[in-house]
Amino acid sequence: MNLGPVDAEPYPWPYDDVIDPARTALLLIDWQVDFCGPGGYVDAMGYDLDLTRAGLGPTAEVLAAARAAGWLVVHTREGHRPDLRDCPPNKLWRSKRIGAGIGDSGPCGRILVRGEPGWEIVPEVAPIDGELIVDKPGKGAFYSTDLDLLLRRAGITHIVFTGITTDVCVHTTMRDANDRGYECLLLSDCTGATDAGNYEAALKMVTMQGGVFGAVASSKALLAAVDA
Amino acid sequence: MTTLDQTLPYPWPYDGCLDPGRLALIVAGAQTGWIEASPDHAGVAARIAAVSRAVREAGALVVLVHHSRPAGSRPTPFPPEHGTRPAEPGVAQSAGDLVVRSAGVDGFHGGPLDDELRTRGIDHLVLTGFGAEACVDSTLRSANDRGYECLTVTDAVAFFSPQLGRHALASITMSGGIFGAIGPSAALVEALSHASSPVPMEAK
Repeated sequence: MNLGPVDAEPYPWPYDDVIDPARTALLLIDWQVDFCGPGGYVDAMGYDLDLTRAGLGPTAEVLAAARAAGWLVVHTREGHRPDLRDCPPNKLWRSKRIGAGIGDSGPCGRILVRGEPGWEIVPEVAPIDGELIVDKPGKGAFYSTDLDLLLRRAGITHIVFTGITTDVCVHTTMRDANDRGYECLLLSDCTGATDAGNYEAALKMVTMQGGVFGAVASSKALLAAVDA
Repeated sequence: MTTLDQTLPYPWPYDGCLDPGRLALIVAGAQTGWIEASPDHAGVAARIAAVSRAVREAGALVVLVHHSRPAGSRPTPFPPEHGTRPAEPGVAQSAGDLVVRSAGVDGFHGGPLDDELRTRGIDHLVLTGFGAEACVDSTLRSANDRGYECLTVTDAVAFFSPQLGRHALASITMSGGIFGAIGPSAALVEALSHASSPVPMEAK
Protein backbone atom coordinates (compact mmCIF):
# COMPACT_ATOMS: atom_id res chain seq x y z
CA MET A 1 0.00 0.00 0.00
CA ASN A 2 1.43 3.35 -1.06
CA LEU A 3 1.28 6.14 1.49
CA GLY A 4 2.37 9.71 1.99
CA PRO A 5 3.17 12.49 1.85
CA VAL A 6 4.73 13.41 5.20
CA ASP A 7 4.24 16.82 6.83
CA ALA A 8 7.84 18.01 6.48
CA GLU A 9 10.01 21.12 6.00
CA PRO A 10 10.50 22.76 3.57
CA TYR A 11 8.11 20.70 1.42
CA PRO A 12 5.72 17.74 1.94
CA TRP A 13 7.94 14.68 1.59
CA PRO A 14 8.53 13.05 -0.79
CA TYR A 15 8.58 15.48 -3.69
CA ASP A 16 6.81 12.84 -5.83
CA ASP A 17 4.03 12.42 -3.20
CA VAL A 18 4.11 8.66 -2.71
CA ILE A 19 5.92 6.51 -0.16
CA ASP A 20 6.24 3.16 -1.87
CA PRO A 21 7.38 0.50 0.66
CA ALA A 22 9.20 -1.35 -2.13
CA ARG A 23 11.34 1.69 -2.95
CA THR A 24 11.88 3.16 0.53
CA ALA A 25 14.71 2.37 2.93
CA LEU A 26 15.16 3.23 6.59
CA LEU A 27 18.78 4.06 7.31
CA LEU A 28 20.05 3.77 10.88
CA ILE A 29 23.43 5.43 11.12
CA ASP A 30 26.02 4.44 13.71
CA TRP A 31 23.77 3.65 16.70
CA GLN A 32 26.87 2.12 18.29
CA VAL A 33 28.08 2.00 21.88
CA ASP A 34 31.05 4.10 20.74
CA PHE A 35 28.72 6.99 19.90
CA CYS A 36 25.91 6.66 22.44
CA GLY A 37 26.96 4.17 25.13
CA PRO A 38 28.79 4.56 28.42
CA GLY A 39 32.53 3.99 28.05
CA GLY A 40 32.54 4.40 24.26
CA TYR A 41 34.41 6.87 22.04
CA VAL A 42 32.04 9.85 22.48
CA ASP A 43 31.92 9.26 26.23
CA ALA A 44 35.73 9.10 26.31
CA MET A 45 35.89 12.53 24.67
CA GLY A 46 33.74 13.93 27.48
CA TYR A 47 30.58 14.77 25.54
CA ASP A 48 27.07 14.52 27.02
CA LEU A 49 25.67 11.09 26.11
CA ASP A 50 22.10 12.29 26.69
CA LEU A 51 22.43 14.33 23.48
CA THR A 52 23.40 11.38 21.30
CA ARG A 53 20.99 8.98 23.06
CA ALA A 54 17.96 11.29 22.78
CA GLY A 55 16.82 9.83 19.46
CA LEU A 56 16.93 6.17 20.46
CA GLY A 57 13.31 5.89 21.67
CA PRO A 58 11.69 7.51 18.61
CA THR A 59 14.04 5.60 16.30
CA ALA A 60 12.95 2.29 17.85
CA GLU A 61 9.32 3.21 17.10
CA VAL A 62 10.10 4.11 13.50
CA LEU A 63 12.14 0.93 13.11
CA ALA A 64 9.15 -1.17 14.25
CA ALA A 65 6.88 0.64 11.78
CA ALA A 66 9.35 0.23 8.92
CA ARG A 67 9.67 -3.48 9.64
CA ALA A 68 5.88 -3.83 9.70
CA ALA A 69 5.59 -1.90 6.42
CA GLY A 70 8.22 -4.05 4.73
CA TRP A 71 10.79 -1.34 4.07
CA LEU A 72 14.39 -2.19 3.48
CA VAL A 73 16.25 -1.59 6.77
CA VAL A 74 19.95 -0.72 6.63
CA HIS A 75 22.22 -0.27 9.65
CA THR A 76 25.67 1.31 9.43
CA ARG A 77 28.66 1.01 11.73
CA GLU A 78 31.78 3.16 11.77
CA GLY A 79 34.90 1.20 12.65
CA HIS A 80 38.34 0.19 11.51
CA ARG A 81 40.21 -3.04 10.92
CA PRO A 82 42.06 -4.24 14.01
CA ASP A 83 45.41 -3.29 12.43
CA LEU A 84 44.02 0.21 11.57
CA ARG A 85 45.31 -0.02 8.02
CA ASP A 86 42.04 1.54 6.81
CA CYS A 87 42.36 4.52 9.17
CA PRO A 88 43.75 7.72 7.62
CA PRO A 89 46.81 8.85 9.62
CA ASN A 90 45.37 12.31 10.30
CA LYS A 91 42.16 10.78 11.71
CA LEU A 92 44.25 8.60 14.02
CA TRP A 93 46.49 11.51 15.06
CA ARG A 94 43.54 13.78 15.92
CA SER A 95 41.85 11.11 18.05
CA LYS A 96 45.02 10.43 20.02
CA ARG A 97 45.63 14.15 20.51
CA ILE A 98 42.38 14.53 22.46
CA GLY A 99 42.86 11.38 24.50
CA ALA A 100 40.40 9.07 22.72
CA GLY A 101 42.79 7.32 20.36
CA ILE A 102 41.31 5.04 17.71
CA GLY A 103 42.54 1.53 18.52
CA ASP A 104 43.36 2.43 22.13
CA SER A 105 41.86 0.26 24.85
CA GLY A 106 38.92 1.62 26.83
CA PRO A 107 36.06 0.33 28.96
CA CYS A 108 34.33 -0.99 25.81
CA GLY A 109 37.38 -2.50 24.18
CA ARG A 110 39.49 -0.85 21.49
CA ILE A 111 37.97 2.45 20.36
CA LEU A 112 36.29 2.39 16.90
CA VAL A 113 37.66 -1.05 16.04
CA ARG A 114 35.51 -3.67 14.32
CA GLY A 115 34.47 -6.59 16.50
CA GLU A 116 34.95 -4.77 19.80
CA PRO A 117 32.07 -4.29 22.29
CA GLY A 118 32.06 -0.50 21.67
CA TRP A 119 31.56 -1.05 17.96
CA GLU A 120 28.33 -3.01 18.44
CA ILE A 121 24.93 -1.46 17.79
CA VAL A 122 23.02 -0.73 21.01
CA PRO A 123 20.17 -3.15 21.88
CA GLU A 124 17.32 -0.60 21.47
CA VAL A 125 17.74 -0.55 17.68
CA ALA A 126 19.81 -3.68 17.05
CA PRO A 127 19.53 -5.35 13.65
CA ILE A 128 17.50 -8.54 13.21
CA ASP A 129 18.09 -11.35 10.73
CA GLY A 130 17.67 -10.25 7.15
CA GLU A 131 18.53 -6.59 7.70
CA LEU A 132 21.52 -5.12 5.95
CA ILE A 133 24.56 -3.94 7.88
CA VAL A 134 27.17 -1.73 6.22
CA ASP A 135 30.57 -1.22 7.81
CA LYS A 136 32.25 2.04 6.94
CA PRO A 137 35.72 3.46 7.61
CA GLY A 138 34.66 7.12 7.29
CA LYS A 139 31.90 9.49 8.22
CA GLY A 140 29.90 9.04 5.04
CA ALA A 141 28.24 5.63 4.61
CA PHE A 142 28.77 5.63 0.83
CA TYR A 143 32.53 6.18 0.85
CA SER A 144 34.46 2.90 0.40
CA THR A 145 31.35 0.75 1.03
CA ASP A 146 28.80 -1.19 -1.05
CA LEU A 147 25.83 0.83 0.26
CA ASP A 148 24.95 2.35 -3.12
CA LEU A 149 25.08 -1.08 -4.78
CA LEU A 150 22.84 -2.59 -2.10
CA LEU A 151 20.28 0.21 -2.38
CA ARG A 152 20.18 0.20 -6.20
CA ARG A 153 19.98 -3.59 -6.34
CA ALA A 154 16.96 -3.42 -4.01
CA GLY A 155 15.32 -0.74 -6.17
CA ILE A 156 15.48 1.92 -3.48
CA THR A 157 14.83 5.54 -4.52
CA HIS A 158 13.74 7.08 -1.19
CA ILE A 159 15.67 7.08 2.10
CA VAL A 160 14.52 8.01 5.62
CA PHE A 161 17.45 8.95 7.88
CA THR A 162 17.97 8.32 11.58
CA GLY A 163 21.19 8.11 13.55
CA ILE A 164 24.14 9.86 15.09
CA THR A 165 25.70 12.25 14.98
CA THR A 166 23.50 14.72 13.09
CA ASP A 167 26.18 17.13 11.93
CA VAL A 168 28.83 14.51 11.16
CA CYS A 169 27.92 11.01 9.93
CA VAL A 170 24.20 11.64 9.28
CA HIS A 171 24.77 14.87 7.34
CA THR A 172 27.70 13.49 5.36
CA THR A 173 25.66 10.44 4.32
CA MET A 174 22.50 12.42 3.53
CA ARG A 175 24.46 14.89 1.39
CA ASP A 176 26.00 12.02 -0.53
CA ALA A 177 22.64 10.27 -0.96
CA ASN A 178 21.13 13.47 -2.33
CA ASP A 179 23.98 13.91 -4.84
CA ARG A 180 23.31 10.33 -5.95
CA GLY A 181 19.66 11.17 -6.66
CA TYR A 182 17.95 9.55 -3.67
CA GLU A 183 14.98 11.47 -2.23
CA CYS A 184 15.91 11.99 1.43
CA LEU A 185 14.02 12.68 4.67
CA LEU A 186 15.76 13.29 8.02
CA LEU A 187 13.73 12.60 11.19
CA SER A 188 14.50 15.45 13.59
CA ASP A 189 13.84 13.54 16.82
CA CYS A 190 15.62 10.39 15.65
CA THR A 191 19.06 11.99 15.58
CA GLY A 192 21.39 13.89 17.89
CA ALA A 193 24.80 15.52 18.03
CA THR A 194 27.58 16.21 20.53
CA ASP A 195 26.48 19.87 20.62
CA ALA A 196 22.86 21.04 20.72
CA GLY A 197 23.51 24.17 18.62
CA ASN A 198 25.27 22.19 15.91
CA TYR A 199 22.34 19.74 15.87
CA GLU A 200 19.80 22.54 15.35
CA ALA A 201 21.93 24.14 12.63
CA ALA A 202 22.39 20.81 10.86
CA LEU A 203 18.61 20.37 10.66
CA LYS A 204 18.20 23.90 9.25
CA MET A 205 20.91 23.32 6.64
CA VAL A 206 18.87 20.51 5.09
CA THR A 207 15.98 22.91 4.48
CA MET A 208 18.02 25.75 2.93
CA GLN A 209 17.39 26.81 -0.68
CA GLY A 210 14.09 24.94 -0.89
CA GLY A 211 15.53 21.71 0.52
CA VAL A 212 19.04 21.47 -0.84
CA PHE A 213 19.55 18.00 0.67
CA GLY A 214 15.90 16.92 1.06
CA ALA A 215 13.46 17.51 3.91
CA VAL A 216 13.11 17.27 7.70
CA ALA A 217 10.14 15.91 9.67
CA SER A 218 9.34 14.54 13.11
CA SER A 219 8.92 10.82 13.63
CA LYS A 220 5.27 11.50 14.53
CA ALA A 221 4.67 13.07 11.13
CA LEU A 222 6.24 10.09 9.38
CA LEU A 223 4.29 7.59 11.48
CA ALA A 224 1.04 9.48 10.82
CA ALA A 225 1.64 9.19 7.08
CA VAL A 226 2.65 5.54 7.24
CA ASP A 227 -0.15 4.48 9.59
CA ALA A 228 -2.83 6.41 7.70
CA MET B 1 57.90 21.40 10.88
CA THR B 2 55.73 24.22 9.60
CA THR B 3 52.27 24.84 10.95
CA LEU B 4 49.95 27.84 10.85
CA ASP B 5 49.30 30.19 13.72
CA GLN B 6 45.69 30.73 14.78
CA THR B 7 44.15 27.51 13.50
CA LEU B 8 41.66 25.47 15.55
CA PRO B 9 41.48 22.95 17.10
CA TYR B 10 45.13 22.15 16.31
CA PRO B 11 48.06 23.80 14.51
CA TRP B 12 47.44 22.91 10.85
CA PRO B 13 48.59 20.74 9.15
CA TYR B 14 48.77 17.80 11.54
CA ASP B 15 52.04 16.55 10.03
CA GLY B 16 53.75 19.94 10.00
CA CYS B 17 54.28 19.54 6.28
CA LEU B 18 53.28 22.78 4.54
CA ASP B 19 54.72 21.74 1.17
CA PRO B 20 53.26 23.67 -1.78
CA GLY B 21 53.94 20.65 -4.00
CA ARG B 22 51.48 18.65 -1.93
CA LEU B 23 48.90 21.40 -1.43
CA ALA B 24 45.88 22.61 -3.39
CA LEU B 25 43.44 25.45 -2.86
CA ILE B 26 39.88 24.34 -3.61
CA VAL B 27 37.34 27.03 -4.54
CA ALA B 28 33.99 25.26 -4.34
CA GLY B 29 30.79 26.72 -5.77
CA ALA B 30 32.86 29.00 -8.04
CA GLN B 31 30.04 29.75 -10.42
CA THR B 32 27.04 31.98 -10.94
CA GLY B 33 24.07 30.97 -8.81
CA TRP B 34 26.07 29.70 -5.86
CA ILE B 35 28.03 32.96 -5.67
CA GLU B 36 25.00 35.25 -5.70
CA ALA B 37 23.24 33.05 -3.13
CA SER B 38 25.84 34.05 -0.54
CA PRO B 39 25.23 37.53 0.95
CA ASP B 40 28.92 38.27 1.67
CA HIS B 41 30.16 37.07 -1.71
CA ALA B 42 32.07 40.24 -2.62
CA GLY B 43 34.21 40.30 0.52
CA VAL B 44 34.80 36.59 0.37
CA ALA B 45 35.77 36.81 -3.31
CA ALA B 46 38.44 39.40 -2.43
CA ARG B 47 39.92 37.12 0.24
CA ILE B 48 39.80 34.11 -2.09
CA ALA B 49 41.69 36.23 -4.62
CA ALA B 50 44.37 37.04 -2.02
CA VAL B 51 44.72 33.42 -0.97
CA SER B 52 44.81 32.32 -4.62
CA ARG B 53 47.69 34.72 -5.34
CA ALA B 54 49.66 33.42 -2.37
CA VAL B 55 48.99 29.82 -3.37
CA ARG B 56 50.08 30.42 -6.99
CA GLU B 57 53.19 32.33 -5.92
CA ALA B 58 54.20 29.48 -3.60
CA GLY B 59 53.87 27.08 -6.54
CA ALA B 60 50.77 25.26 -5.30
CA LEU B 61 47.67 24.39 -7.32
CA VAL B 62 44.39 26.34 -7.47
CA VAL B 63 41.30 24.28 -8.32
CA LEU B 64 37.94 25.85 -9.20
CA VAL B 65 34.98 23.50 -8.84
CA HIS B 66 31.90 23.88 -11.02
CA HIS B 67 28.99 21.84 -9.72
CA SER B 68 26.22 20.32 -11.84
CA ARG B 69 22.76 19.44 -10.65
CA PRO B 70 22.60 15.95 -9.12
CA ALA B 71 21.23 13.38 -11.59
CA GLY B 72 17.66 12.20 -11.29
CA SER B 73 16.78 14.43 -8.37
CA ARG B 74 13.67 16.46 -7.75
CA PRO B 75 13.31 19.72 -9.65
CA THR B 76 14.35 22.30 -7.03
CA PRO B 77 17.47 21.45 -5.01
CA PHE B 78 19.87 23.86 -6.75
CA PRO B 79 19.68 27.59 -7.22
CA PRO B 80 17.68 27.52 -10.45
CA GLU B 81 19.86 30.03 -12.29
CA HIS B 82 23.16 28.33 -11.51
CA GLY B 83 25.69 28.36 -14.28
CA THR B 84 29.37 27.90 -14.90
CA ARG B 85 30.44 31.49 -15.42
CA PRO B 86 32.58 32.88 -12.60
CA ALA B 87 30.91 36.15 -11.68
CA GLU B 88 33.59 37.63 -9.44
CA PRO B 89 36.99 38.74 -10.79
CA GLY B 90 38.68 37.15 -7.77
CA VAL B 91 37.44 33.69 -8.63
CA ALA B 92 38.34 33.80 -12.31
CA GLN B 93 40.69 31.16 -13.63
CA SER B 94 44.36 32.10 -14.02
CA ALA B 95 47.07 30.34 -15.99
CA GLY B 96 47.97 27.05 -14.30
CA ASP B 97 44.68 26.79 -12.42
CA LEU B 98 42.54 23.72 -12.83
CA VAL B 99 38.77 23.76 -13.40
CA VAL B 100 36.91 20.55 -12.58
CA ARG B 101 33.25 19.67 -12.85
CA SER B 102 31.38 17.63 -10.31
CA ALA B 103 27.96 16.01 -10.62
CA GLY B 104 26.59 17.29 -7.33
CA VAL B 105 27.02 19.54 -4.32
CA ASP B 106 30.12 17.54 -3.33
CA GLY B 107 33.01 18.61 -5.55
CA PHE B 108 34.32 15.03 -5.62
CA HIS B 109 31.05 13.42 -6.71
CA GLY B 110 30.94 12.20 -10.29
CA GLY B 111 34.00 14.16 -11.42
CA PRO B 112 37.78 13.98 -11.77
CA LEU B 113 38.82 15.94 -8.65
CA ASP B 114 40.20 13.02 -6.65
CA ASP B 115 42.21 11.70 -9.62
CA GLU B 116 43.55 15.16 -10.47
CA LEU B 117 44.79 15.64 -6.91
CA ARG B 118 46.25 12.16 -6.41
CA THR B 119 48.13 12.12 -9.71
CA ARG B 120 49.84 15.34 -8.60
CA GLY B 121 50.72 13.91 -5.19
CA ILE B 122 48.49 16.42 -3.41
CA ASP B 123 47.24 15.37 0.03
CA HIS B 124 46.75 18.74 1.79
CA LEU B 125 43.71 20.85 0.87
CA VAL B 126 42.68 24.40 1.66
CA LEU B 127 38.90 24.81 1.33
CA THR B 128 37.19 28.06 0.27
CA GLY B 129 34.13 28.95 -1.77
CA PHE B 130 30.50 29.93 -2.04
CA GLY B 131 27.19 28.47 -0.93
CA ALA B 132 29.46 27.23 1.82
CA GLU B 133 27.00 25.25 3.97
CA ALA B 134 26.39 23.27 0.78
CA CYS B 135 29.33 23.24 -1.68
CA VAL B 136 32.28 23.80 0.66
CA ASP B 137 30.93 21.65 3.48
CA SER B 138 30.04 18.66 1.27
CA THR B 139 33.40 18.82 -0.52
CA LEU B 140 35.23 19.05 2.81
CA ARG B 141 33.45 16.00 4.20
CA SER B 142 34.26 13.99 1.11
CA ALA B 143 37.92 15.10 1.17
CA ASN B 144 38.28 14.24 4.84
CA ASP B 145 36.92 10.69 4.43
CA ARG B 146 39.44 10.25 1.60
CA GLY B 147 42.25 11.12 3.99
CA TYR B 148 43.11 14.62 2.75
CA GLU B 149 44.36 16.94 5.51
CA CYS B 150 41.97 19.89 5.24
CA LEU B 151 42.01 23.51 6.33
CA THR B 152 38.79 25.48 5.93
CA VAL B 153 39.49 29.21 5.65
CA THR B 154 37.00 30.94 7.93
CA ASP B 155 36.93 34.32 6.12
CA ALA B 156 37.10 32.88 2.59
CA VAL B 157 33.88 30.88 2.74
CA ALA B 158 30.60 32.63 1.91
CA PHE B 159 27.64 31.14 3.74
CA PHE B 160 23.96 31.46 2.85
CA SER B 161 23.41 32.26 6.53
CA PRO B 162 26.09 33.62 8.89
CA GLN B 163 24.38 31.93 11.84
CA LEU B 164 24.37 28.51 10.18
CA GLY B 165 27.90 29.19 8.99
CA ARG B 166 29.18 29.59 12.53
CA HIS B 167 27.85 26.15 13.35
CA ALA B 168 29.20 24.65 10.13
CA LEU B 169 32.67 25.87 11.18
CA ALA B 170 32.14 24.72 14.79
CA SER B 171 31.24 21.21 13.62
CA ILE B 172 34.64 20.93 11.89
CA THR B 173 36.42 21.44 15.21
CA MET B 174 34.43 18.89 17.23
CA SER B 175 36.08 15.69 18.46
CA GLY B 176 39.58 17.08 18.02
CA GLY B 177 38.99 18.27 14.45
CA ILE B 178 36.60 15.78 12.96
CA PHE B 179 36.87 17.42 9.51
CA GLY B 180 40.32 18.96 9.98
CA ALA B 181 41.04 22.50 11.14
CA ILE B 182 39.79 26.05 10.56
CA GLY B 183 41.74 29.31 10.39
CA PRO B 184 41.85 32.82 8.92
CA SER B 185 43.20 33.63 5.44
CA ALA B 186 45.90 35.96 6.81
CA ALA B 187 47.59 33.10 8.69
CA LEU B 188 47.65 30.97 5.56
CA VAL B 189 48.97 33.77 3.33
CA GLU B 190 51.71 34.53 5.87
CA ALA B 191 52.78 30.89 6.15
CA LEU B 192 52.77 30.40 2.37
CA SER B 193 55.06 33.40 1.93
CA HIS B 194 57.77 31.41 3.74
CA ALA B 195 57.05 28.14 1.96
CA SER B 196 58.29 27.26 -1.48
CA SER B 197 57.88 24.11 -3.43
CA PRO B 198 61.10 22.06 -3.58
CA VAL B 199 60.14 21.00 -7.10
CA PRO B 200 58.65 23.53 -9.54
CA MET B 201 55.15 22.59 -10.63
CA GLU B 202 56.17 22.46 -14.34
CA ALA B 203 58.77 19.79 -13.59
CA LYS B 204 56.25 17.38 -12.09
